[in-house]
Amino acid sequence: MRSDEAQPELVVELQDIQHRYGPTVALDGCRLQIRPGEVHGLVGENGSGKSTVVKLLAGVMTPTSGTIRVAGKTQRLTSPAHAHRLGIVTVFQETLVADECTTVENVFLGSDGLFRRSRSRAYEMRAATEILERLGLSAAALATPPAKLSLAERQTVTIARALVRDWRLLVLDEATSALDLATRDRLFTLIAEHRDSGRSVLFVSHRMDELRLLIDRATVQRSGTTVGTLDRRQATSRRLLEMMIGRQDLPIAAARHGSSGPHREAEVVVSCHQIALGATTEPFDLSISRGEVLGVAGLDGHGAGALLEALAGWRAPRHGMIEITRGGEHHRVRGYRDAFRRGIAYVPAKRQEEGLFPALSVWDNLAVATLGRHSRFGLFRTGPIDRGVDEQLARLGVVPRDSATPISALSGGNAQKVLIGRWLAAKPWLLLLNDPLRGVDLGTKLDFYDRLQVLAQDGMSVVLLSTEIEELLAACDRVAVCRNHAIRAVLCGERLSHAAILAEMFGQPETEDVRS
Amino acid sequence: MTIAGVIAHRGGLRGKSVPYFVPALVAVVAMVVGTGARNPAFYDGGWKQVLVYASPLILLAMAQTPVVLAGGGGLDLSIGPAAGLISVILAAELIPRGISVWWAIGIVAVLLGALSGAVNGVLSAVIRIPPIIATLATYLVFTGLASQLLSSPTGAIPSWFSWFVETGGPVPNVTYVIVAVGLCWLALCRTAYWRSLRAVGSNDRAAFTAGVPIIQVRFIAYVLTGLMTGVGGLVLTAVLGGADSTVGPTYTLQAIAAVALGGISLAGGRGGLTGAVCGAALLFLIQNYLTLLQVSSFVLQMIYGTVLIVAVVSNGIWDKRRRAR
Amino acid sequence: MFVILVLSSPAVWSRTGVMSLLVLASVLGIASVGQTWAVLIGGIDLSVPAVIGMANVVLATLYVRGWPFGVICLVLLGLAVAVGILNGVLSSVLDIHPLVITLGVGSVVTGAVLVATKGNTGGTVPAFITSAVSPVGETFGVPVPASLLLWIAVSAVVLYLERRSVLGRNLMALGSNRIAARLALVRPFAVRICVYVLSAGCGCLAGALLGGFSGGASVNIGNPYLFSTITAVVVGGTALLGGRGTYGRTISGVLVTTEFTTLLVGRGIGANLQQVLLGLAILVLITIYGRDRHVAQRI
Repeated sequence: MRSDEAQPELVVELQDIQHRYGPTVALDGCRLQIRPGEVHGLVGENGSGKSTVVKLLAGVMTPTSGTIRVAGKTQRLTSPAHAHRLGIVTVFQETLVADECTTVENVFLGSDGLFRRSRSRAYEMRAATEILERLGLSAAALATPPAKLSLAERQTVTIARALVRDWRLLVLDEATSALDLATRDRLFTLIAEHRDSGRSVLFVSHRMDELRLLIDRATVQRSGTTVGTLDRRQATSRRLLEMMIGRQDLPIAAARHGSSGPHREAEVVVSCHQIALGATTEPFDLSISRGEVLGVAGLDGHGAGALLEALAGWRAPRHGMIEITRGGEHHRVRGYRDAFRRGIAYVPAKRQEEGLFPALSVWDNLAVATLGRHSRFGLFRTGPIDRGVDEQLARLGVVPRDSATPISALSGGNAQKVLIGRWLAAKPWLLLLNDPLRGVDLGTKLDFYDRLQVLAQDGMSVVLLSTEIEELLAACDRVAVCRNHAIRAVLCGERLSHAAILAEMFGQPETEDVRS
Repeated sequence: MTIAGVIAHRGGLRGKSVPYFVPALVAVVAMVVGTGARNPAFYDGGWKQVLVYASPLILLAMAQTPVVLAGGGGLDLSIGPAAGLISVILAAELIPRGISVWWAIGIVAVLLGALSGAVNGVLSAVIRIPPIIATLATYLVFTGLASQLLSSPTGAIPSWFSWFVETGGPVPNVTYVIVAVGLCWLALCRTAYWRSLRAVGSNDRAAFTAGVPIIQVRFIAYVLTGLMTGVGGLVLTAVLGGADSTVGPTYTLQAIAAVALGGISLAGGRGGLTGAVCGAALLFLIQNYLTLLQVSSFVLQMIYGTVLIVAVVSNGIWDKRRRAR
Repeated sequence: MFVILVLSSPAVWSRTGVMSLLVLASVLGIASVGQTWAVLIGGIDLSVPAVIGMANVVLATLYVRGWPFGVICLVLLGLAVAVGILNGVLSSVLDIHPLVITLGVGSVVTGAVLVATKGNTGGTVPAFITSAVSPVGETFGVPVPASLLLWIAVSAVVLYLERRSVLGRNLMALGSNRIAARLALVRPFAVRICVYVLSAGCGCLAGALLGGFSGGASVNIGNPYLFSTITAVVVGGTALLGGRGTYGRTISGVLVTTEFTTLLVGRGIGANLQQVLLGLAILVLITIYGRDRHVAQRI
């Protein structure tokens, strides 16, 4: 334990940061204070704003409002190069390696001027060798082109890139997820050494065990706001999880349906036998019943989305088989079009990139998937399609009701309804929703949960992936939690609670439910 | 080739993987052997003539390289018309006005080239218009301007231009020009720019987060392209013995094919001038060989198109295979 | 961007004048159908001039050898389908920009025609084609040249397809958002092939009509149509990046372009400067509507 110096100057301070991506608020009232010579943890659920904080510190973006202070002086980080000049270096979760440069060049990437080298080749060679050896990379790997290195080795190179600079704050954004244990331990040793010599590290991670090993203090983010900062002694996993849950004042939980949901004895319509989503991930089983609403939860990058894509036939699982049972017959799902023809509909996640056609009208956006069904010789009959469009607009409560309106004129919530309506128009019996209500207002959400219930009671099975745990609690009968690309638990009935889901997502023993 | 060795060394490919231009080089050697077999006079000095006629294409293929290397879908469609326009400006505007000293013309050609490169650079790198569209637009502008300034070919150029096409010495004089450009490029490769260029071309997100000034790197790539286009325009004038405004556009297609044939990845990052030279030589030798076989020039036209398609498609396949780790 | 230029030049204002204008417009209009659709799906078709030249030469050469007109039409249809499939397949296969592909294919087509005819591209065309493009021509007694009627018919079909066929809506979707289109069960491969086949088909039609102008035939007769079809599409308001627009806009673009060209030619300003202006126009439009994202937004 270090002694507290009298008011040490903060290395980096974020004050009242607010950041928006268009209409979406990613950060609202974020406060972060990093002292010299400390390892500072940053934790939070999906959507809590962690990655936005990282991007702001890395110089990739500038905040919409608020102040960033580096060593006491207010700064505007205009670019990653600028952040580096101020002594802030970042390692991202994604392995950013340039394949056409050598390993040594990758380590020193960005440190030169436009034409002038900042260091001699001999120096670079020496320094790169030294740091990479300390991180556990063999000398042979140094001479290998980066394209042939393993994922862990490539991530090590990006970490080395940060470490060879002149830095005072190292930001690690989930950087350890790609590393093997030995390298990770060496990294932690290095971090401890740097910490002792006065540098600071911002460690963003969801791995509680790693956090407990390293941090001096930790800040918890929730829904874009900073909840608080805990000292090492106070920062137990349980306390951190509690702060991440917080007091949810959405009435959603109260609106949770009391129907016979989880205890329905219904026929199984989809069964997954020993499927593995990745090359080295654990296989698991899953079955979905008729008329149930199954929730899927998981941190970003842990396979929840991949599970839905596999069910939709969009991306085949590495191993195992997905089987659907209709009318007593079993079929294997063979690809996306086959799945659709058999009645499985998949509503993708990012509606701007994967869902909507921005230049087209509401009508076009709604009808596109079902045009084929009402057409002959390539020409479609407007009658049935118009009727179908109007039906969806009415059932989902889209405003405005005129289908000729360009989709760009609709609000986010209404546009999302149109997207869902596109797939509902196909009258599927299995509806896969990938985070459908992100960025949608509360009223629309509550409305939607009701409609989902109606659909389920009519016999439709629904798989709902959501990054908001409250939503899963409100709408679903069971919730499957993904971690490391496999389902770790399926919670229902008594065991289904916010704390339980969160605990499974983070891989922690369950904590008590804090809400009264 | 020591140049190859040096470039391979720079790229750090110390025997771990095959340099990118090897297939093209092998093909060039094969073509040379084949041509020589068909026409023994080729070895005897005929090759000098071939080299002279191939030189505009070689230079323009070299010019196409920096933009392609910079990635981001970089491709400069306006290279051919730019060279043509420069040639037209030299022959139709400056020389009749009495500016005909060799160094003045040379400087003007290179500066005009740099200017065209800078324009493309601003449009593509700074304003971020997709490079294919931006250079298509400048292609149209340059072609139109060239035709406007010179409606029919002219042949009135100063006598010193013939220096380029003289084949008296051990190698045709134009070779010195190509080598000079190559040496300038090598000098550039010793600076930090070369590594920044490859980084931006292969993974611009990695380069950006590492602090590389992407916009400047790409802009400079366009200017380099322009500089080499200027030299290409100069040599084009010499080889043609004048200026012809319709010749430029045909080089566009050929330069792209040459670059793709030379093993340079159209996605960016991988490649260098050696590949461009090999690719251009290969393309020209194919044409030459077919002419020897007395194949009609119409078939040649087909061949050019087919070669372009084959080169681009196989380039894409190769890329995909490399990325599927 | 609906710009309708009023006919202002007095020399044009006569039946012959108007008709010759419309005839020119009709050929350009037919040639621009394919270009419009190619642009709508986010690509471009640079093989149009080559296809026009091909049709022109094939028609003239075969006719002078005595082939019946109906058979020639079938031949042209087959060629159009072949070219279209080639373009469609190659541009779907590897994500290569259609600009490069169609450029190459166009070159191959021109070369193939020259090879097949050994450079002799002379010939004659049926008399009714010559009258089809004559300003004073008549069609079945109606004092309107056939090419104009043909353009109207083609336009009607194309517009109908755009609005009421699965292909039409699918291609709009594909141009608007490629990824979403695939998720929405659009088949990019099939759509592309259809688009390029249609483009080649219309190019053939335009090439055949052009035979009526000069009587002789040349592979290069289609060359001016490269930039004039692009002009028509861009001026009409269809975005070069796809998804936004319709052939209807191109129709107005064609009319404006033809009038503008006639006006300029009348004043001695040639095709060259028009080309320069087109290039500048493209730059301005894309700067306003279609810039790429900055790297930072892709992190």
